[in-house]
Amino acid sequence: MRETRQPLYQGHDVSVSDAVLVAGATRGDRDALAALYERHASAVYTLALRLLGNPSDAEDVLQDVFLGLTHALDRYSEQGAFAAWLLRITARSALARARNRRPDESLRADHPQRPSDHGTRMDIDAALAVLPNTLRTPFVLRAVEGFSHDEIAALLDISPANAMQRYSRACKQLRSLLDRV
Amino acid sequence: MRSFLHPTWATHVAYADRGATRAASRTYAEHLMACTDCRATHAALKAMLSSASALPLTAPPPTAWSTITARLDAGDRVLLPASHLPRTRPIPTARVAAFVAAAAAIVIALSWPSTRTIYAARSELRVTPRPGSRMVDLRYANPMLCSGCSTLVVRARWRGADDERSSDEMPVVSAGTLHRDGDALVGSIRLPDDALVGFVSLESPDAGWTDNNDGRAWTVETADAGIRSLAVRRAIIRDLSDRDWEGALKLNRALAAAFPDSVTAWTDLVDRERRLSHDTASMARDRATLNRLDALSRGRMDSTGETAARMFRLAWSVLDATITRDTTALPQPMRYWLGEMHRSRMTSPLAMHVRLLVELQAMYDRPHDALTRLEQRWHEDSSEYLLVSEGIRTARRGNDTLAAARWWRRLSQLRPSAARPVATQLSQLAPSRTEGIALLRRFIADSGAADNWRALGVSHEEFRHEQRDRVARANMALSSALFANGDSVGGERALASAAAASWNTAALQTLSARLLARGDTLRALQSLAILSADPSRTPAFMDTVRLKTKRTYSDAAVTRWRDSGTVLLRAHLLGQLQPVTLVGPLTTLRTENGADVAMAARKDPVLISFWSAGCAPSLEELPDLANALPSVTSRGLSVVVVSRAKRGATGPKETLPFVVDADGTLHRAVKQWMTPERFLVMPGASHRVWRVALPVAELPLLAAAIQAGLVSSAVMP
Repeated sequence: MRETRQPLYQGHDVSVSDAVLVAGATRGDRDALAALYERHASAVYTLALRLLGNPSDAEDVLQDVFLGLTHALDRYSEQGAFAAWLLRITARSALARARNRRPDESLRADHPQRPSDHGTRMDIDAALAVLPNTLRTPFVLRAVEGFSHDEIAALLDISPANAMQRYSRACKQLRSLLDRV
Repeated sequence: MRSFLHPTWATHVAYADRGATRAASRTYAEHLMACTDCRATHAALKAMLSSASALPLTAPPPTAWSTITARLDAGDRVLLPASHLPRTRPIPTARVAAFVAAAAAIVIALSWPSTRTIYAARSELRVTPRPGSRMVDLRYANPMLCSGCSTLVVRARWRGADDERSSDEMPVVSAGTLHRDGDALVGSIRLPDDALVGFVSLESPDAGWTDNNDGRAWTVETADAGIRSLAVRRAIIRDLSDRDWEGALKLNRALAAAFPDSVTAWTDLVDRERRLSHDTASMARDRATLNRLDALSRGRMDSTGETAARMFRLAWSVLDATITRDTTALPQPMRYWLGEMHRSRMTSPLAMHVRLLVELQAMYDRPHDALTRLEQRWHEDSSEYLLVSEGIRTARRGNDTLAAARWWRRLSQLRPSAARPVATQLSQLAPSRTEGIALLRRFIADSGAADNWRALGVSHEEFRHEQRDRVARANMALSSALFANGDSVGGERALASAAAASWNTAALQTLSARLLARGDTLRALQSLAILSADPSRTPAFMDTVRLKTKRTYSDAAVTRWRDSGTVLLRAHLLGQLQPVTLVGPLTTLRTENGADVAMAARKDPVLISFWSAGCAPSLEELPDLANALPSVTSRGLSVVVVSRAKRGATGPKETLPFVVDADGTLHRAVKQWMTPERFLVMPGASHRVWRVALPVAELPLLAAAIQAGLVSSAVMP
């Protein structure tokens, strides 16, 4: 009888730091990668979903990120939190995918405006789905994910002032949408 | 200190996002303390951002990991993009050179002997908007800077109503050019159609120097296509903190001295000193300040309410200081403020007080405190009309109906002639509605007995017209008040009186709407029929009936209502016609053009309007008569203006047929003895003449009724 192999790491085991898991994943340890996936997949998937608005595209980004993670980790230096680094990579992948997407693949087709039946959070999600890409991306990155305006500017290849302006306009449109709801 | 201007949306976002600078945050926070709307905006924005940051995560599809491992096993590789920020672009050499040049220019400018004071003192830009257009004339004089200039370029930044850019973000555009005219440079610029706020600066052609008009903001109010008002002023409070550091420090010291118990005042003072001097040693020397702050900090106070109270008390201390005319101790913005008032010729102490009062209560949104102050001033001087007008306005702004009623009563004491407007206003305010209704009823009752038209210096006809109009207005106001009191029957009666007193279509329409609302369709339609009895309104009548009743009536019913309305209209018109017994023949008169007007031979009705160049009412009604002429003559009623003297410069225009009755034959024939007066001459075997007591506005209705046969010699009295 074949013995079932127990994974070395568990994603919810907080005693194992990201640094240990990263080191394991860099060496090609599949268990470490699985633990990183278990720990960060939701954040990666959610960010991709909010940026792309499409579950299938978001899943593609999620797969791409974890498929390329082993090699990308070579470039990772422990200067910042792994989670933040991972989200930056996710944002870049998602934005690259959004740029390559056909123009007619609109967000609204997959995320129709939903009624406000779950309070404010659902309202914001629904309102975000209505925002144009140029405004939704800065808002998601800044207000939801906590990116700085400089980081957003670098991701979108625009000036920080422009990033701030887009963020401000996104806030305004969102507020009017929420008021309407 | 609270800013006059609301923060832009970008400022709201920056502050809610904690991205604002400390100074900006301070200004913003102080504004929030006093502005309810901005507080609500800020709270909503914070709540939204807080909700956004707490959005839940979404779990990926359960099959995702198995797909990933399958692809890994299959040797699938994905190259991820780099995560780090792109390297900063290399700084171009030209930019470095420009930066060095700019720095050198700043150093040179700082070390150069400054002429700013003289320049600022002698610079003058006069701004005069042209009525009815968006053009603004400029006249600029600055002997220090533009003595050698023949032209200047006007640069402007404008912001529209929906534009939330800050002043620094507005693009600078060339608005026009000023040219030399004697000692000054003059020219004009056109304000953009959507301009709301802007800044204008003047620049020498070689861009060697710029006068930014001391940072004054242009605030534009638009009416139709032109400019209703254009205010050019410095944003005083912002100016205080941004420019006049010494003034700001003085204000902070004055605040701390005036409010020794205020934590905020002392905190502000310390903060201001720190920012101004950058010298902690000087603060340490002022040990008393720090001790005071320390002691106060232990007994924390409600900073928001305390700051508001502090600002308001400061405002009033400044207000009281203006009475002494000693403004030397006042902070610079207040001095500027007073200077503005002196320039606007409001120099009496009371006038200054009132003006400041209004400005302050608008600034701090405290109309009830302003009302209290106005009451105090009223007890000092109860003969000042300015106090009453501001009291009424302030009470209205504060929605204080009791105070409003009180100030309206005071107006009636000062101006007995304003009895009707005062009664009307009192009847519209809930606390004084009964009193207002009683006053209106008394006014209506007294108006019939009043016969002081000679004392007023007006003609009897004019007096009657005006009196009728006043009674109609009083009845309209009475009806509103009675309806508000729930007295529908009384309200309708008052409306009917208004309609009867004058040909008041508004009263008739309101009456019919009321009647329809309570289901009295027949009477409602009768009222509408009166309106429609003018043949020109027939199509409109049918539409009105359909719209108002939402029902279709038989032609017979509609005809019946029309007929009853027609009867009422005819009664109204005939009531205004008095038969005149001729005492002489209607002679043939010769017009200025040489054409004979043979009155005896005319087959069409003629309206003779007697006119006199020395009669003010005659002159006043001439434009109305000229306007009504086409609609009267097109309905077959000729109009002739008759005077004993020639047309003259002030007389009727060429479009009005004019006849000179030099020897007074026609005047005597109809016993005409005052002007303006009108007579209707109907054709027939023998002349029949009626004196017409209708106002000029109702002459087209008379013409229409004659044309439709409603009014004819057979039915006329």
